[in-house]
Amino acid sequence: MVRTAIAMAKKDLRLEWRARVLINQVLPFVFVVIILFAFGFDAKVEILGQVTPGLFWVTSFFGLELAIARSVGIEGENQAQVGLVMMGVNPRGMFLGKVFAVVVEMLALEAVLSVGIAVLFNTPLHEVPLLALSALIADIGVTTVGIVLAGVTEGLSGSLLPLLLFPVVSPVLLSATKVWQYGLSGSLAKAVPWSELLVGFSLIYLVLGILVYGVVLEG
Amino acid sequence: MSRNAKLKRGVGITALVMIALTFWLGLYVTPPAEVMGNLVRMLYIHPPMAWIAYLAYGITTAASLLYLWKRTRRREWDLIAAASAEAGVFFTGLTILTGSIWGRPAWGVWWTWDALLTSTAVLFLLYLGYLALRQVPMSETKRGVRSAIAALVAFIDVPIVHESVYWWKTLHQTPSVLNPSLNVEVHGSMAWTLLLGFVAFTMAYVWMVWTRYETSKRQAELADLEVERAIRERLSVEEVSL
Repeated sequence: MVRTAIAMAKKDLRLEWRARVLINQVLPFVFVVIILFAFGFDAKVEILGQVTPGLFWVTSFFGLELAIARSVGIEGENQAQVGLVMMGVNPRGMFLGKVFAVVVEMLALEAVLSVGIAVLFNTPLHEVPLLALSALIADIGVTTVGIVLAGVTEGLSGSLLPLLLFPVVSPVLLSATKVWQYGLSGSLAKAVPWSELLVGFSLIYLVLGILVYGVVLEG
Repeated sequence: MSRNAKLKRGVGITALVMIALTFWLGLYVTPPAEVMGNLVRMLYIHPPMAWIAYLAYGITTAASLLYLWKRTRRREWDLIAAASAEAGVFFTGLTILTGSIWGRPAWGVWWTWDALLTSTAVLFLLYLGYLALRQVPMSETKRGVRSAIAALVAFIDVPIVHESVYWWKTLHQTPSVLNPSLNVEVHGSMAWTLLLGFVAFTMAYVWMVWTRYETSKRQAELADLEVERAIRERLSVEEVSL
């Protein structure tokens, strides 16, 4: 399982490195979203500063959704997924590899995005280790359930994935937003219960994903 | 009329009579509450509707699990899951609507971003997504497996909705009936009317799921017959041409 996961993650990251979809398409897209938010709030820095955590996670969700859809979509090309299933490749390994690759891509994207937000919204980044750790856990939570649902909606209408995914991951996004809110304001004690909730949900989604991904491939 | 159809009709009529009785008792017989006054009358329909939503999604999840497990995989489980989810969405919508009607005089707003209300709206959207997934044309097995997985993922929100009033100390009060200590905070004629409401709406749910399931089953059987007829026609055309 671990060897399959490593091979799958390497393959997905190599594909991303060669195609550079994240840098050429997803990153510009998330900055467009950030600018649209600034328009929506009349470019008032004091308001933007207050809503930074929410904006960050809504924008990250858009990026995650695109990265997840692409990660699953590439397996549909030339029926690659059918080939993997026919060869009896461990589905749990495939799942973990895909999750790892998307999380690595998203962490890179979020690092750039957080610097962009800090500059554009005039929000200093405090408690960076907490922010980074919560981003990692939230990305795992969203990606695990996202890979499952992207498998479920593969080949179907493109609007189905966000419709199914956003309500499911809303507890993860809410918890991550709260952790970022308290992290940015330096109130570490208040971030603890939300961090626990974040870990809990991400863990539930990870276990669920590992359990059902084999059935997703069958479907 | 078959015995099955008679029984189903009996369940439907009983549900209708019991719902009418709940409304009559709730509006004319039970007294106004000490604090809430006449607003309490919403209590006789709002919690039963929320209970049906939980029950419906529970049944959808159980039927989906049975469909996913290959030993018990049968078309019937998939159809029951779909029928129950449709009823669940209907009752979740009614729960939000009745809660909103109650909220206007009680809180002064039709809607507030309270944890329970928000998580219920999320639940409503989740199962709307489930139903949207089912509407996409694909083979029966593929639809069954994919929607069963979506149902399993969606069910995670149900305990969040129920526990949200404890986790986030929200504006919405804690449950009067379905609380952890099972200490019912309603008494006398009000308690009996509430109990009747629970039974009445459960009967209505059973009738709805039963009727929807039978309709879907007939639709699926009709589709099978059409496929068989098309194959026969094709074979006969090929025989003639030979």
